[in-house]
This record gives sequence, C-alpha cells and structure tokens, in this order.
Amino acid sequence: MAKITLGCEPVVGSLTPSKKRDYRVTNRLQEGKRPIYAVAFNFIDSRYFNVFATVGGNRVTVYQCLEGGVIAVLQSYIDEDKDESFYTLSWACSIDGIPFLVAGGINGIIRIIDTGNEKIHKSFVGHGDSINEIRTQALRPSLVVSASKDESVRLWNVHTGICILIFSGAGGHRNEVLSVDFHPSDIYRIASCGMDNTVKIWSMKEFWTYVEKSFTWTDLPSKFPTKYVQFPVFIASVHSNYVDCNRWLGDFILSKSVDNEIVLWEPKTKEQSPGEGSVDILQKYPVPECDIWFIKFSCDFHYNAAAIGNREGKIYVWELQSSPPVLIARLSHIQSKSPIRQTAMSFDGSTILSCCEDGTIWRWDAVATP
Amino acid sequence: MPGIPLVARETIYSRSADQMCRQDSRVHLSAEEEIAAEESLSIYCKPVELYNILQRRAVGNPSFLQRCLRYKIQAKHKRRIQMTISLPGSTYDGVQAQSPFPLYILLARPISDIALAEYPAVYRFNRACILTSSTRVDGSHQAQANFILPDISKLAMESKSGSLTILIVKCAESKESISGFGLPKDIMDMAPFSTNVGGHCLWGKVPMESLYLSWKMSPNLSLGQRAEIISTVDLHPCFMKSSCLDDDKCISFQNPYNSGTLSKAQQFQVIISAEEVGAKDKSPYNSYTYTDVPTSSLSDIIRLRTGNVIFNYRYYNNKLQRTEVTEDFSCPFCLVKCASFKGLRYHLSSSHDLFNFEFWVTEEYQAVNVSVKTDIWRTEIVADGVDPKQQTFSFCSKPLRRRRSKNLAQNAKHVHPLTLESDLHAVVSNLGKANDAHSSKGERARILSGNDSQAVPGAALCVERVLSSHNVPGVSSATVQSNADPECVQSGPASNLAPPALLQFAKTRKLSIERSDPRSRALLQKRQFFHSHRAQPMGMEQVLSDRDSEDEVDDDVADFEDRRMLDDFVDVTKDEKQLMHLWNSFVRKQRVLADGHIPWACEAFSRLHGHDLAQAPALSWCWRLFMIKLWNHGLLDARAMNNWPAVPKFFALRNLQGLVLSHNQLAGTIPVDLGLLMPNLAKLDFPNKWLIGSL
Repeated sequence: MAKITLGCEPVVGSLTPSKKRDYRVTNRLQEGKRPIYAVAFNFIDSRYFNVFATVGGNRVTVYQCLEGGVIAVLQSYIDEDKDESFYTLSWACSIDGIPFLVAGGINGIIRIIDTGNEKIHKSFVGHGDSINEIRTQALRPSLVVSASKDESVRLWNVHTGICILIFSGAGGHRNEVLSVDFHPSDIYRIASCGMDNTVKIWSMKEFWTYVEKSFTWTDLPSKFPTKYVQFPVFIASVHSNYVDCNRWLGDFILSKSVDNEIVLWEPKTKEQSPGEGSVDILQKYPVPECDIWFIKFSCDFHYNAAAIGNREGKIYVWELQSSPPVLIARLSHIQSKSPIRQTAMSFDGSTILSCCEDGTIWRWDAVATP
Repeated sequence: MPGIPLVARETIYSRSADQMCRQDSRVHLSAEEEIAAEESLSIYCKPVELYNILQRRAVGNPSFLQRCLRYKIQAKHKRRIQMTISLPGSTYDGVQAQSPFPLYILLARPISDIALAEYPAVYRFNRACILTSSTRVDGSHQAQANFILPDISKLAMESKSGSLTILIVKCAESKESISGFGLPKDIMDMAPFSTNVGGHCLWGKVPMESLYLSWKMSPNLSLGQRAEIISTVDLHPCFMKSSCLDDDKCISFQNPYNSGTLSKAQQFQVIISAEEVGAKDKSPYNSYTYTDVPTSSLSDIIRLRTGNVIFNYRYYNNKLQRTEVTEDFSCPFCLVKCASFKGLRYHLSSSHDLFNFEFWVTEEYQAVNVSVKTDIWRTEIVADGVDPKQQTFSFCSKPLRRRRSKNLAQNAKHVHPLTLESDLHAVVSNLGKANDAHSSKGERARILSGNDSQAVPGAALCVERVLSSHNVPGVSSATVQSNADPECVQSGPASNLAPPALLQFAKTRKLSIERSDPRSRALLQKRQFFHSHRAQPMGMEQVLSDRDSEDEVDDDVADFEDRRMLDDFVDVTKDEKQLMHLWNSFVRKQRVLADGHIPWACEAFSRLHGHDLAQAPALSWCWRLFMIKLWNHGLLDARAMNNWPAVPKFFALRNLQGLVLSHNQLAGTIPVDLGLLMPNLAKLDFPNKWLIGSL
C-alpha cells in the first residue's frame, strides 16, 4: 500500500454535484436477458464517432447514436458457440482503415470482426482462459492488447494476426488480469491490473523490433518468434483488493478497486532499479455503492471526464483534470436499478451510455445549458 | 607366452613336490579331444593380447606398484657393503688400565690431513657412532658401530683417493664430566660432536685403503660372506675441536704444545667386519647362468634358482596344464621383473585380474597356477556377433549376463576383451591423452551435430555414441544429440548426461515419423495442435515436422533478462557485468550443467570470445579472474587453467604480430604464471554471485 505522508494527502472530491452539465435519459434498449458487460464508442475512426458497440452473451451488436436520442442497430454478430459470453470489446482498424471490432470473453478466443465487410476477419487463439479486457493502441490502431484470466497480457497485431508479445512470467501477474491500457503517448508503455491487487507497468521498448516485424510478417503467424516479457518496469500496490479497471491519464494512472472510489496516482519509477518505485496518490473520486468487482469506468476522448456506474444503477460523472475533483453530475433514473458494468462516453462527453446487468442499454444526453 | 616352455601335461591336483613341475608324458587324448583342448587353450589368447596392449601403454608411465618393485630391484643390484666396527671382547673387562668407553667412531673425509702443531687436521663427517660398555644404567649396550659403504668397485675409487677414513676418538675428560653431572644419555653421548666445543682427547685413524685391500683379498666378501679384520689403532693425544655448521659437521685435531699434561698415547684393537647388504637372503644359485648348465639338468636348475617361478596354465576344463618358467620373478604376461615372489604376487593380482592365480611356495620352488576367470568377462567382453556399436552400455546388464552364463564355460569364441575392437582403439588412444579428453570430445560432438543438422534435415535425432572403456576414468559413454535447428547447438559434455532411456525414446520417435503411418498421420491432421510456449495454433507442416519447442529457451529474452538482472548489481564494474553476461548466455546456450563441463566450457568460451577478450584487456582480465575463481572452487584444474588463458593471449599476439598459428599450437603456447596473478586476488573480492548467477 502506498504510504501517505503528512501534507501529501490525496485530494478527495466532493459528492455534491456541481450541476455544470446536466444529463437526461433519452433512450433505453432491452437487448436481451443476458447481462451486457461492455459498451464502447468508436474513437479510432472520426467518421464513426457516433457508432458504438456492445457485447452481451454470445452477441456483438453495433449501434449508431442518432439525433434526438435515437439508437439505430447497424450490425449484429452472434458467436456460433452459445456458451460464449463476451466480456469486453474494443474498436480497432486494419492498416487500410477498415474498422474492426475486437471482442473477447469466457472462451478466451479473440474475435476480430471486420465491420466494413461484415465478416469475421480473424480469431486469435492463445489465451488459456477468459479474456477480461481488450484495448487498442490509439497511435497504431492495428495493435490490441488483451488481459486474461490466464494471468497474462498479450499484444496482438490484428492486421497480420500475430501474437507479438506475452507479458507474463516471473514478474507477471499472480492472478487474473482484469484490465489493461495503453499509455496515450508513450507507445512502448502499458499498464495492467488484476486480482493480485497490483497495477503493473510494462515496457516493450526492448521488444519493439518484434512489434515492427509483426507488420511485415508473411509466414504462418504461429511461426512468429513471440517473446515473453517477464518483468514489468513498475509494480504498484495502490489497492488492497481486486483492481478491476485502470486507465492512463497522461503519465498518471486512474484505477479502481471495490472501495467505492477511483484513485488517481503517479507512478514514480526509480532510474537505477527497475521494478521498484513509489506511488504518489493524488486524487480520489468517490463513487458510492460501487463495491462489487468488474465495474469499469470510461472517459471521453480527451479524458476530461469519466463516467462510472454503480451497483444500484446510478452513474457518477467526474471532472478528471480539476483539483479538487468536481462531480459533474450524478445520473439516476427510477427504473435503472441494475448494476452498471460499464459506461461509454462519447467523443465530447455529451452522450453517456450505460450497460446493465439486466441487459438494458441506457442513453443519457447532456442537456444544452441555457 | 614368454618364458621357457615346458610341455603341456596333465593337471596335477595332488600337488606333491615332485609332481608339481614334473614333465609328465601327455595324457592320452583322442584326436578330437586334442583339437578341443587346443581350442580351449586359446582362451588365453585374448586376455594376453589385452595385457600386451596395456603393457605397451605402461612403458612410459609405469604404475605405482611397478615403480616400487623397480626400486627394490635397483637396491638389490647396488650390492652395498655394511661395515661393522667393534672392540674385541677382552677389552671389555677392564683389563686395560683405562676403559676405552665411551668411544666415538666416525666415518669422515679429511679436509686437511696434515696434523702439525700449527695446522690442525680437519675432517668432515655425517654421523658419529658411540661405543659404550655394557655397564650403562639403562642397559642399552652398544658395542658396535655400523656404517653402510658403497659397493666394492666404488669403494676402490674412494679408498685410492684416500678420501675416506675411520676415526676413533676417545674423550679424555668426558668420563668425569659425564658421571659428575649425570646428564641425559642422548645429550651427553653426542655432546662433543653436536656442538661447537673443544677438549682434550685421544684419537686414531684407520685408513680405508688398507681395509679395502684386505677385503679384496678375502674371497668371503665376493661370495656374500662376512670378512673380518682385526686392526690395531694408535691413539694420540690431541686437542679436539668440533664445529657444527648446518649439516656440515667438522672436527679438527691439533697436536698440543705441551703434551705432558695429557694422557699418554694408547693402543688397542678393533674388529672391522664387512658384509654385502642383504647377502643373507640370496642363494648361491643366483650366480649361475644358463650358459654353463647342460640342458638336461635345466629343469632342476630352473626349480632351484630363487628368481625362477613356475607358471602352470590350466585349460580344457582344468584337465590340462601348460607350464613355463620365468626368471627374476618376472611376470609371464608383461615380463615385468617383480623383485620377489611377494612382489610378483601383488603384481599378478593387481594387473592381471582376468586370470585366477593360486600361489604355491615350498622350500624348493615357487609356482603359480593360472586359470582364466570366466565370470568376470561379462563386464568387459562382448559376445560374438554383437556389434558393440549397437550396444547400449549401462551398469546393469542382466540379459547379457544370462547369455554369458549359458555359453560361459570355455567357449573361446565369446571371449573378446573390450579393448580389442579396432574402432575402440582410436577412441581409447584419443582419450589416453587424458589432458584434453573433454575438449576433444566436446569438439567432436559439436562438429557432429553441426554436420548432421545439415546433412540429415528430416532426422529427428541423430545418435552417435562414443564407447568408453573402464580403464579411462571419468569418461562415461557419450551420446550426442543433434537438433535440426542450427541455432540450437548442443554441447558434448551436456549430452553425457543423456540416459539410455532417452536414446530409446529418440529412436522410436524417429521411426514413427519415418514410417509416417497414414493412420497416425490422419490423427495428427484431425485436430488442432498448439505451440507449447505461446499457445499459438500450429500449421499442419509444423505439426508434421520434427521440431519440438517444448524445452526451447528464448535466447534473446533470456539475454535481455540476464542483462537486466546484472544491471541491478551496484558493486560490479561494467566489464565484469559484460563478462558475466557473456558467460551466462554461453552457459545457457551450451547447456553447461555439471561441474565436469567447466573445463570444456572455459576452453570453448575462450575460443568463442577470444577476439573480443583480446580487444578489451579489462574484459580479459575479468575472464582470468573468473577462471581463478573456478579453480578455487575446484572446478578447473591447474593445467587447464594454465592452458586456456593462453587463448586470449594468443589472439592478442596474433593481432600484434600477424602471426598465423595452427589450431594445434593453440594449447599451451603461452603459459600464464599463476604466481603473478595470485597476489592480486586478495585485494579483489571476487563476487561469488558470478558462480551463483551462472551455475
């Protein structure tokens, strides 16, 4: 656990809504009976900023947010395995710019859906257990990283279908990896967290040649010299329970456990000794009734705000980059009582989507302030 | 068989004295039986052949036992003389006015012989013997002095030059002083000679020349008997001074100016006897040679000469025996002289254990009954029709044993001492060089694996076996495993560990693929296979190829991680880290696993990185320190130490002078003086984690 010295106490945000922005429910969809675990806007391709996708059960659905709270279904894909239950999805794209949808779940198979051609592009096998999160490298949108129950994180090239790196081993996670995220500017850096209560920061700088090689690989993908990255550059013990979501905010990290709060902290690596370092906890964003694991938060494109649902179906929207943190809004609806597994904020944060355990999707739109 | 052959005859079990070596007329055998008997005699051939090989090899480097026996023989041949000096019995009884005791007797060499008033006579001596009367309190009575002289011919030279004299000294005051102070015996005995003291005494001398002449005249001595002379010695008063410088003890005698104060000159007799050392043990027969003995009486003489030993070789189910006789206690198989029957006994049982020996000694003769040991063949001898190359050598050889016991007995055809196989010769002689047994094997293994991987692309494992024999210690049978992957070089020493079980596995596996049974092939094609490390699905060609990645190590990643681990060390210099890294990755790639691999690994490492080491003196210094550390731990012997550091030096030299030396000249070109390196060791606390980290 991070030690907090006098005068360095984290700033805790006030739960009094600032009413800076107001959101209203504009739509509610019942997708099915099965819980929806993930929802995500497409931030990769500016043409499709209003397109989002959800995963629930063995189904992947692509929607479009239209004016006036209208949600249009664009595509729906159903895995042939009825027992598949997708946990996560991420938008990516091929080198040619065709938007891909990458989804993974209980089966541990990563499905790459070519949404441009409405067909499956590739399926990645390799993970030994279910996949908990997939994220796309915004700077190289052909690269995705996946966090798995098999205690490993894998870096894939969706274009060539190559498993480039495996982040696990001697210094790797000691339990399920629940979340992973690319650093927004440092292309070599990723952060992962999981059930071993730690957040680990990895560097693939030494292995970047292999990443480059994966783009030009023409032989069988299974012949690619996949490398193991066994030692992270930083291990942080910020939380004392499962860490189920982490995101980079610049060089800082936002992470949450089951303690009703999101924590913003700074990893301070020591130059001399990699792997060690200290943690400086900067701010805390309280989220009441958020004490179950696998609730993920989402941010708008510029990371100005974060939205997170809770166990009771409420949504807290925090302004991330102000100090002390400002609670932009607290969204609640009488009929929204089911735990919200994930939210999705649109590019500018004006639309917030939430997907619930009961299989509903809620759309909240910001009310134009007079 | 060497030696003097006697005719084959029936084995005698009664062992009565005259039957033992009696030349019996042959037992009546049928023609077939004779042939069978001849055949059974030939079981001796192979073991004898083996011993001939061993004998040739032992010429340059005799065993410990052989050397001991040789010294014994040499000592015997020296024929030194033991001289004993004593006083005749009558003088003991106090008849003489003054008791002569204690009397000192010295064998001395004169330095200056002229005993004038001004110039003292100076002698150098080694040892002084004291003669005492029997009246000593402790009862120790020493009435004779013994000296060992060289043999008679050497003595002749010595005596002619007058360089040896017997001195007899009687100290004038010693008696009083001794009885007065009651000093411990040892001290007082030698007091006048062990310290730098002076005193009045009586002295006389017996020149060796006169003794030699009288000994020469006497026939007794040359025949090994005692020669006795009674000689009269004049004792003159003088002033004696002894000095003791290190081991060089000198004594000087000076005629006093005033002789009146001293006791008068005396005269008494001494008995000087001489005898050849060890003559008592010899028998008169030794002096005869065969040339003057008629052949008819040869067998009698044979049995009478002490050095002669009768060997009875039993064969044809112990029914028959063939006899031969050797002289000078020689071994009949390798002709080594063994000095005595005891020596022969030790030699036979230690060097020729393929035979059974029964030793039989009576007053008249010494005999050895020899038969071929049948039960021990199974460990060293391969049955007929079995190609040793096809044979897996292991400690447990039960099936072989069963086969042996079946046709055990005397079937000569199945007796093949291991070393007689021709290809084995090469290996054994290679290994006989001993000092680079490991290295040569390692090289060989590497070359093989390199070739195989190119030549036989489809083969899963190429198996090559180097046979080893029991008389080359430390070398076990080596199996070389070659992988189709050229970047994976398997080293020889590592493969030493491969058990035969692995071989079997490799064989069967190869077979199944070679046959490529369509049914098993279909099974392989039916389902998806995954890479064992990255869990990536394998292509069909990968599944059907022989490549197995199960135990592969990712060298890039391992190198990277090793470097990172080493970076954590704060008390290690950059060069040390670099060398640690090179060594660690070398050890990993070459699979240096056991202590025994270290000498090979050091050599190979020197060769591999010789160029780099020569370029960076600091690095090569680290390498040398590391080897010293290995040597400290007993993993590297001093000879290897001495040889391998020469390799980086050699590269340095070549760079400087443009020398081109062949590979063979590499080893041992420039020996490194360890003594020069050692003083620095104390200062440099060499990090132990090198070893921990790398091993």
